[in-house]
Parts: sequence; C-alpha cells; structure tokens
Amino acid sequence: MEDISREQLDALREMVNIGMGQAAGVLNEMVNAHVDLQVPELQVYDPDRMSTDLECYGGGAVSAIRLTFDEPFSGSAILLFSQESAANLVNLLVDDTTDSFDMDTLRVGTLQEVGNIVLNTVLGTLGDLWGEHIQFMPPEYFEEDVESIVCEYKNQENRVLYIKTFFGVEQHELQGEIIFIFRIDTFQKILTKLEEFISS
Amino acid sequence: MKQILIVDDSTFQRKIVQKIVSAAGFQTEQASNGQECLQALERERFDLVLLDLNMPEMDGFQVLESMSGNEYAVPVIVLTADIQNTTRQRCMNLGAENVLNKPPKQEELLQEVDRLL
Repeated sequence: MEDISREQLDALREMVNIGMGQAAGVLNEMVNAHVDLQVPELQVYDPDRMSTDLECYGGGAVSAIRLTFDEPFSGSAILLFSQESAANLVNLLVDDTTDSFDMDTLRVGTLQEVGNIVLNTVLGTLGDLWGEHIQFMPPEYFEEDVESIVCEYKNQENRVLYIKTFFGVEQHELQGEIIFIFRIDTFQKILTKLEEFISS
Repeated sequence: MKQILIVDDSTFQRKIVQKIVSAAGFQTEQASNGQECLQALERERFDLVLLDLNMPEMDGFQVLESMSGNEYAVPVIVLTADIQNTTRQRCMNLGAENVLNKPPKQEELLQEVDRLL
C-alpha cells in the first residue's frame, strides 16, 4: 500500500475501531440488541476499484445514508443496508400501525436519522481523537444500486482513502456496512494527524 | 517483577498500553491475536492479561472461552472500543475481571492493574 505507512494505517484502523465501538453502543440502545463488530478494512486506492469491493450487494438497490463533511477534512461517510436489513431495522424501531403512505415517509426518515446518529458518532469520535471539529452537511438518503452511489467518486482523478467496516445486529437479520471516502486533498491532513498521534 | 501480556491486533494500541504499564514498573509481552495469546499462556506464566476483543482470526471472546475451559488462573482485563453493556456482560460472564473502554485512560488502567496484582 502506497502513501500511508503500516504504522499510520494501523493507528487509523484502531481509531475507526474506537469510533465503531461507540456507534455500536448507540445502535445497541436504539434496537435493544447486541451489535457484532468486525475489524475495519482500510485501503488507499483508485476510486474505480470501489464497486469491485461492493459486489456483495449484487446489482440490486440498497438503502444508503450519506453524510458529507467538508471542514477540516473533506469526504463522505456512507452507511449501507441491503433492502431486507433496512426493512428489518425500520420494523424494529417504528410502530407498524401507521398507514402505508405515512409508513414510507417514516421509513425514510427513520433510516436517515439512524444513519445520521451512527455516522456522526463514528466521525465525531475520529474528530475528537484528532482534536478537530468536523463539519457535516445534512444526511442524504438514497435507494439506488451501489454502482450509482459510488459513481461520483469514480470521476475524481485523485485516489481515495477507503475504509470499510461491517456490523450485525444479533437475532434481527440486520447487517450494515460503513464506508468512509476521504478525498485526496484531505489525505495529507489525516497523515499529519496520525503522525502527531503516533509521536505523542 | 509482575508480568503482563498485552493482546491487541493493533501495534499502535499495544504500544500505548505497553508505555503505560511499563512506566508503572511492570514487565510486558505482546500478542497480536487470540491464538498468539493462548500460545503465550501455554509457554509462560503471566500475572495479568490485557485483552482486546475485536481481532482477526481469534477474537477476545474466544480467548476468554478458551481460558475459562483451561486452568490458566490468570486475571483478564478486557480493553475494548465496544461500549455496549451486552459486550461488558458477556465478558464478565466469561470470567473477565473488568472491561475498560479504549482509548485507555492511564489512571483508570493502572488503578485496575494495581487492584489485581
């Protein structure tokens, strides 16, 4: 892996792990069930390779909540659920007596807010560890195939720091994945922060 | 000198923990996953294990399960980023002495180490 040393990569993976641990705690309280975590995977590469890593979703639509941030680090965090997992999550959180029109509005609103809370928790933890306040845009909700969601990142000439981490909620057939895409202009800032952290 | 085994897949985290406990006068050894931890416990006598949970190959829960099935008689403090109460409860049920959250706070960690050693 180029650009980032093994030591920096290891430190970043651990920081994401800490952020995911916090997010799992929040999600646990929301769904009242234990959340299993996996070790985050980190890659630095050309955005064209992203869809290869997301082939597990097939060509079908996924539910995605995206949080974009631009200061002092620029990039996006995307929480991905299969349609089935998204439905299970909404069923866990929402009273099902609502009529179908309201249910659709409620479903989108619920997923958007879950994504907002989970992604804010992970990124907020990273910001705290880096001693920086990260500014977020409002969360966006999509139901599209993965290819369409990552399409805009492919058009960038630069490379991305891509972090992927899985989690699952026990007993509820609910799995999700978070992807962080840091744009290249941010990359050097992150490396500087990691170096500061390692040397301290 | 009391000997502590630090188990974490992150070199970075092992260094942080090693720095804290070494400065307090403890000898340390390191393992980067659950398998290495169990091998170290077979090979040597340790007074305490500081154990991460979320590790590849063999995670911390599996280590605790293996340890409870053997007669290592080594106290374990779990150091994890996972803040869930269910995680804490599972660890305690599997025999952990305590569960501390990452990043470790020097004072809290040393207080717990001193209590057990």
